[in-house]
Amino acid sequence: MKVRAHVSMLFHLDKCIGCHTCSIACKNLWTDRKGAEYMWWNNVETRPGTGYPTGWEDQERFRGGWEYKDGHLDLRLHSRAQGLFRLFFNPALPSLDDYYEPYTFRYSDLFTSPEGEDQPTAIPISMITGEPMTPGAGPNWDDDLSGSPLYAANDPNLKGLDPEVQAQLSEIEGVVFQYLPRICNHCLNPACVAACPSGAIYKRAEDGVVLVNENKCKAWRMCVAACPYKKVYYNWATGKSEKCILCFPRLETGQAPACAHSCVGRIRYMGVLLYDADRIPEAAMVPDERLVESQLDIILDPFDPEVIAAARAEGLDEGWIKAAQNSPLYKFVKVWRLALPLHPEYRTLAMMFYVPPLSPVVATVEKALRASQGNGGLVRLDLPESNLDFELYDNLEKARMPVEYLANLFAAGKKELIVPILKKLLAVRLLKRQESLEGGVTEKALRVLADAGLTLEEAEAIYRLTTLPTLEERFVLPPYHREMAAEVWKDPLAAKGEAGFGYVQPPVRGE
Amino acid sequence: MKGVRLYPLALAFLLGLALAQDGKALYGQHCAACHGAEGQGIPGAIPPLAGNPRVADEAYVVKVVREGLSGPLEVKGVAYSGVMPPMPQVAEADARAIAQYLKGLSGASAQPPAPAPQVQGDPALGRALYLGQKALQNGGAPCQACHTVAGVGFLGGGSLGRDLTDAAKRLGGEAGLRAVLQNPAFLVMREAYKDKPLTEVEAAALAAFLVQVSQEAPRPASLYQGRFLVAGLVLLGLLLLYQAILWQMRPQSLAERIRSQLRR
Repeated sequence: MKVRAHVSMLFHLDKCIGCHTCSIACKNLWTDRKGAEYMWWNNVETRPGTGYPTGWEDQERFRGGWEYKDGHLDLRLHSRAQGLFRLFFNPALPSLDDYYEPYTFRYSDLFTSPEGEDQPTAIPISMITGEPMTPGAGPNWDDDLSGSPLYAANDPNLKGLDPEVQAQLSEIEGVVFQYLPRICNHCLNPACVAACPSGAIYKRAEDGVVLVNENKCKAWRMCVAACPYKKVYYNWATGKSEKCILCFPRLETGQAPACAHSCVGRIRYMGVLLYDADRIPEAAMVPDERLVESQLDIILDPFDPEVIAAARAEGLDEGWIKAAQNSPLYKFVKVWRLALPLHPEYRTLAMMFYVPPLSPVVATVEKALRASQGNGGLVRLDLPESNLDFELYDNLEKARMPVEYLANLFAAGKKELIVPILKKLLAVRLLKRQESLEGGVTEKALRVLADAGLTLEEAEAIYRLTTLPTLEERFVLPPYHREMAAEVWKDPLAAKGEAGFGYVQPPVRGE
Repeated sequence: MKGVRLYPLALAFLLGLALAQDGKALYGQHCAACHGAEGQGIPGAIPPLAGNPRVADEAYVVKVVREGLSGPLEVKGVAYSGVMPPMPQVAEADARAIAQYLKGLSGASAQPPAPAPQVQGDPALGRALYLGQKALQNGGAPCQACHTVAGVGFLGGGSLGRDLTDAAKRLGGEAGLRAVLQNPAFLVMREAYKDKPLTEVEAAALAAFLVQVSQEAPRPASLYQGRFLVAGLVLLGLLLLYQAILWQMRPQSLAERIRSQLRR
């Protein structure tokens, strides 16, 4: 057993309102530079949709992630020989068309336009050429606001869904969508690291952050193609690859990453997970249906004395072990089993976790009802308010956001993993609803709770951490003790006083 | 002071003298291939040196060795019209040593020209060897690699060596060609075939083939160059066409596909 710590993030999708504050915080902090205009280390996608870059989940096209065949785990991108052959032309690379042409507005026109009949406007101009352009794509162009169901219809995750269910997804007044915020997944088995011919990408042992060494990067761009989440970007100005760094300078000073910190809906949780580095290969090399289980298996119990002893033997600080024990991630992922990684079938063992969203209260039961009444048009649901929720609980397979769709996103298509999570979430919601409507814990709610496999205490804890957490409960950050590291080579007070001064080594193309 | 300055010059002179001593060895190295070990030559193809009155003139010999000789010539009543290649790689001192050695050769001591070993050359075999369809026994490169002759190949052969169509006329007919082939006098060819000499049968076959070829009129190099250019342009056109087809067939990105659908 080789215990390592991983700083992970959890996205509670039920709380995401799709405001893109996280994306803007990240943009302002990290990618507001020349060559990085098109990059969104953090982006929020509307689902069903094609995402950013458009259709990134289509691995037939982008060839990201790993392929498990005949007991071998191979990059889907290419073998070594193919990689050499495609060194200078890699058809799997996304082009600017797949991302979007970054644009801004010529605000100076507002002030310098000659006097005329009309109010001057700031016309959109390309951030690459500076020429006026008509924006035709953006980092979340397939949002509900882009005015076309075409993006949603091309979502690869609709694969395997009933044509009828698919058609229903975009039906007028029945339209349904959710949001999917995405950052780099800081995978345990990162394909970008494996694909880099220069050995420029590495996973930090202390907290699992995957970083690009810009001094070693030689711009082969194989990481861009190999990452199944398309979260490594190529900076055309510096000729180096860049990616989300999990705001490690913020983490090291005890602050949550900018995206998490700025989150309006407070959907993001940060915490430490202990994992067994020795068992990563065996976790990645199982059939698709066992992938989630095998990944959760190598996440260790921080209260297990054996694990604690092994963690100490690996040199883990007491503070880190403590952080792992208080980690909201551990509770969501391992104790309550409410969270899943995004697209486990890519076999990179993504370490950012998602709590799948509940559907809108009104579900597709409505449609069955309509049909039974022989009424094609819209009807008001004539169900007793209190019963409606329970109706959905019993008919989760008819939920307006199809369970199959969520399974394709978070469970490699395995519905059996999504249903218990939705049941637990719904059971907690029903319990609290009954509490406020009926003034206490009802018999009915308890029955549902027992069916979902939750005790009253657990349900209360889930409720508290979901709706009422304090900042310290959401972000349980480990102590990095950078001051101790500084002590080794410098007077810590001097190091603090001189922070920000010294040499800046900008990346140089071709070096 | 003066003596010190002259010292290197004197050394160089002495060194040159010492090198020039061995005229016989130098002859064996540079001349014997064609003119024979004893300077007997090949009647009708390569003029004899032993007993040749011209070798008495040292300056003439040095000039011929270093600058070559061509054109009609008559020695001992036999007419020759071959070409002797220039050998500037032979130092002047060496050439002088060779001239000294040649002066000492008496025609009498030389063997009468031995009747050429009569291996009948097979021109068909020669053609196969020339084109490389049949490998040379000792692993030498086929002639086509560097030379061209009339009537072989649409684009001709290599352009490194000379056109061999008139080689039989230039190099003293079949007998001369055999000698040259078995012991090339040309600098590049000598290096190339140093460890891979042609056998007697091969040399005879090639000589027979080259004699046969010499009946044809030599073609100008520009003919081959023109053909080469046209062939290259045609190939380039085909490649560009292929590229255009591939470009048309390139997969459209999903983003473009959706956008074109929306435009409709």
